[in-house]
Amino acid sequence: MKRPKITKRIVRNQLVAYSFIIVSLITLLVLVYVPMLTTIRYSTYKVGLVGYGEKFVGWANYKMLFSQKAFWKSITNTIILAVMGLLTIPVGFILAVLINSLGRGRTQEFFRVGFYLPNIITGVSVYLIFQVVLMGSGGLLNNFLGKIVGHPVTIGWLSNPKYAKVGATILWVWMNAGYSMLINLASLQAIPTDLYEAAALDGATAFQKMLHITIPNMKACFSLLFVTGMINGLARFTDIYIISGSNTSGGAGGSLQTILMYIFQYSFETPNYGISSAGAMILFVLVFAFTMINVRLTGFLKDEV
Amino acid sequence: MKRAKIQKIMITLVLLAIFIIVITPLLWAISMSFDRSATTSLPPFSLWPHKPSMFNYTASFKMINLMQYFKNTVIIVAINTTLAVLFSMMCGFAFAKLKFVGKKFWFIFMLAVMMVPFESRLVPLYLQYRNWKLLNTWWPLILGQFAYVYGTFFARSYIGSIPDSLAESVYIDGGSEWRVFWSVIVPLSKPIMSTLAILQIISNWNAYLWPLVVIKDYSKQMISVGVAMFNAQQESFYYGPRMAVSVMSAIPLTILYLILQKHIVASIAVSGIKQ
Amino acid sequence: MKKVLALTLTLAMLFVMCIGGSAFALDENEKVTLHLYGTANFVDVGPDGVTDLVSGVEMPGYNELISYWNELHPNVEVVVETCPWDSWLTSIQTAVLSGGVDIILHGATLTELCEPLDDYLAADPEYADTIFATENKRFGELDKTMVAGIQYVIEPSIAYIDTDILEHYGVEVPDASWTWDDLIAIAEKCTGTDPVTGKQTYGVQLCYTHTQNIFQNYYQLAMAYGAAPITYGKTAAESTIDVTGEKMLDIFTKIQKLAECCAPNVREGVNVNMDLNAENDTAIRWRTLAYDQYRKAVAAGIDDHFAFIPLPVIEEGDAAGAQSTYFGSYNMAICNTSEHKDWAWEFIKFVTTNEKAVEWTLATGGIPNCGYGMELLKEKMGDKANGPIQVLETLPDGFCNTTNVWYDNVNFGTFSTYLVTVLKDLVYGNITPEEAIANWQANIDDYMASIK
Repeated sequence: MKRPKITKRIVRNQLVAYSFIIVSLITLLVLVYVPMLTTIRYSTYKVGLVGYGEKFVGWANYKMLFSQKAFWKSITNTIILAVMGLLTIPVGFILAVLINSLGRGRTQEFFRVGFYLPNIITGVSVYLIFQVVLMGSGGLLNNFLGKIVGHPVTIGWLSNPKYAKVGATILWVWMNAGYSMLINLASLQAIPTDLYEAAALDGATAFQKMLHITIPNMKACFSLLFVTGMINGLARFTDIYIISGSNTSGGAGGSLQTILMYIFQYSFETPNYGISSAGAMILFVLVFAFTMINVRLTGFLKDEV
Repeated sequence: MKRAKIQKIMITLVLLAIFIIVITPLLWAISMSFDRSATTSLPPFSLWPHKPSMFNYTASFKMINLMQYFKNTVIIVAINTTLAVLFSMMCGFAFAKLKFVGKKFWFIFMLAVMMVPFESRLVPLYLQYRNWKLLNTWWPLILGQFAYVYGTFFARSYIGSIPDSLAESVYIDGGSEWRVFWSVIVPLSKPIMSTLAILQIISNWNAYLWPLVVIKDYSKQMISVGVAMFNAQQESFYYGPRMAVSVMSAIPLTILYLILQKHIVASIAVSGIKQ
Repeated sequence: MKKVLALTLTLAMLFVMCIGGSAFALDENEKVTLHLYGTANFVDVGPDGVTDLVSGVEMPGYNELISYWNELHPNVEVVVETCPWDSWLTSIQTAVLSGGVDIILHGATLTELCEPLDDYLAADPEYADTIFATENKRFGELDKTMVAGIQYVIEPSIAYIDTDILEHYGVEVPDASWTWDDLIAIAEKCTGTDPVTGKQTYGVQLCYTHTQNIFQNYYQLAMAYGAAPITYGKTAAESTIDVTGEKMLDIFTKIQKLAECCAPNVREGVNVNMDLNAENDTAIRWRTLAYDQYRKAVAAGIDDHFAFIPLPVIEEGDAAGAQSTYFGSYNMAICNTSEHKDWAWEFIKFVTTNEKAVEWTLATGGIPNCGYGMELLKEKMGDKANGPIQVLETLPDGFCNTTNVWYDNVNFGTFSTYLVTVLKDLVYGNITPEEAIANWQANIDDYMASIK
């Protein structure tokens, strides 16, 4: 008598739960997973322009990519740039600590809003400005540095292969530090104040408080920024493309060519869609592997699901 | 006490110095938008226009149908943000509070999407919309919003922190999960919803490549693509008008952010970012 | 002279229309819609025209052009859709993919999408004679060429020489018979502090160092010295590319020498102003768009201070004696999926040869690709038109602009994009000519090995 009722309730609960997520799941299935299958298929075909004939070639596209030094270089570039881009985390943390120490009030709000502005105003126009900010001869940054050190500075932040990644990272940090600051600040403010009070009673210095209370309590915040920062960093494209002078081979001796730029040149410039699909799959595997390692490393998402 | 005050002033000054450095490129952009001498090359750096003028603004209104682009963008951003926030809240609720078969699988199914850069599925997605005969409509811009993965992730942590006891009274009254969602979860989730809204608004407002590709008819086009019309020729930009349009298109975003920013900090503090 | 030419042209047009009409069976009563998609000057001027933000020159929109067409062919409606230059190759490819495009504006580089026009031209010898150049490309079978599109604007690179600066340094203004060595000598002399004004001047502005078009510097020198690194086989895999050797080293060394006479922002390729301007500090610069530059100079009241002359002569190879140059263009290609190819061809002929259409083209700032265009150019620019005209008249028959023995941006993957990278590095001073060549060759070898 009772059994069917329970089963019925279980089924009902399942249906209700699924009613919340089903639309999103279908959307992802149709708009992300199905296109990805298409990409996998194309990656084993020789396709020039899509829709203009295709021929099955098996692993040839992958082989072609792996045999190219330029492709390996673009992978290295992407990883180095993504790792350097993680600089946004400490920068955001320091800003957040400084802003937090002001105490709640107008000043804090001002900086909280102000430092987030670069996240709001993005796009090609900003990248164009940064080309000039970071240029070697008479660029804004060099002029500023020149005033500090007392003699002219002519570092080609985007033109010299030695510095180009630093220049690109400056832009990345500028664009993303506000977001990182915001997340850091919110996490800082979520640390229970009694922890600090107890530490103060024990006579802890500010540095000790930072080391033993603040940083351990920020672990979740750092792992979130670390994991998402790597994901976004590995998929960097538009900003680097523009500051490289809209050249998919990457500025400064190719030292700024990311995987997406490499793929893009085969998608639309010298169209060979099969190769670019294979590149996209390799990028996906790379991002996936990195994310898994990072998730393990940081304990991010642990016991959450 | 005094020492604390001096320390505070010092910190404020340091922050102010950093802030000025950070904000300088943006101030320069604003200055250039009022500068008649910013044409196909950038004038030397100055926070005050070399030749102050409204020319760039009047020219940009004359050269492209700016008001139409603005209107379209506002409509699309409003629709998309509403959809994205609503559906990410729904998913967030399900993953945080409900038990169902395959929960873990579907959560990973969603998170994996974060790792597929949009550029790499642009062409297949385009082909799909072509087959559905939906190109040159707003549907390709809207349909993707029925799943907002980052949002789901944040909403799930936030909703997870809402105590179950609040929902119990609804269940006791015989209310369904949907009633809990609407009468308990949504009213308590204003901060996270504001956060997701502003993130969505910013990314929708600035989206370029996808609207460029799917919409050919300029009367349906977005402001971000409008900005790109200011290329003097293939390889040169009209800096002044570009900056003018960028400044104009950033104003509504900045105002919205000012209104919503308090909720944003509150929401991040509560959501699962803490241990 | 002009009238006679115009009359002949109109007669020729009428003749072509009658003959062509029967040959291609164009039905004047058939209701047809032609869809044009792409960039070119259509996006520059828009439907209703624009005022150039630098010179203040008014330019007519494309609706004007279409109204002329409809006077002749009221049955053929023309619908234009343009895309911005940002990511334009992406826009065009996706638009063609979704179907319904008849003419691709500026699409001849996308050879795979283009209807080969060789047969159309062969059936229309009269028309073929009226235009100077066609978009010849190597594609598929590389030992042959195909006509992928027709330029309605043709833009030879021309040198613009600031005669004031040359005079101040006591250097004579060269004529069209100069060599690249002469050019370098002038550039080196004119770099420094101007003896008259006391201002810093630069000998040269290498062209387009801020964009991918920086390759044009290599292109022009390679043309002048008959460099032929590419040996075409039947396919890309059967072709060989060797950019090493004395000749190439000489070319890259010359580029390096020229780079040393450039302003720092030009060497770095950031925020470069290539337009002729009143604050000019550069003795020699070169680029396409001679008529547009002329109008800008006139608007700024500085046209008297500049000489327009062809780039140095070609010293070696089959084309020796002609002028080295790079041709920019705005072209039209017939999309190979079009259902109205005959009308599309008719429209292209109209744009390239109809008198009003040619006048429209010139008014948008482009040099039209036909004899009548040259007449108009002479009328507008006076003596300064001689430079571009001389280059066009010495153009070898069947010239392949972007798929030839020294430059190919269609068939060899990263050959052309990597050239941009090494040139940027060379011009900025990161690497020596030897390193530039070695890097380029390594990249080429890498690519060629991967397609074998």
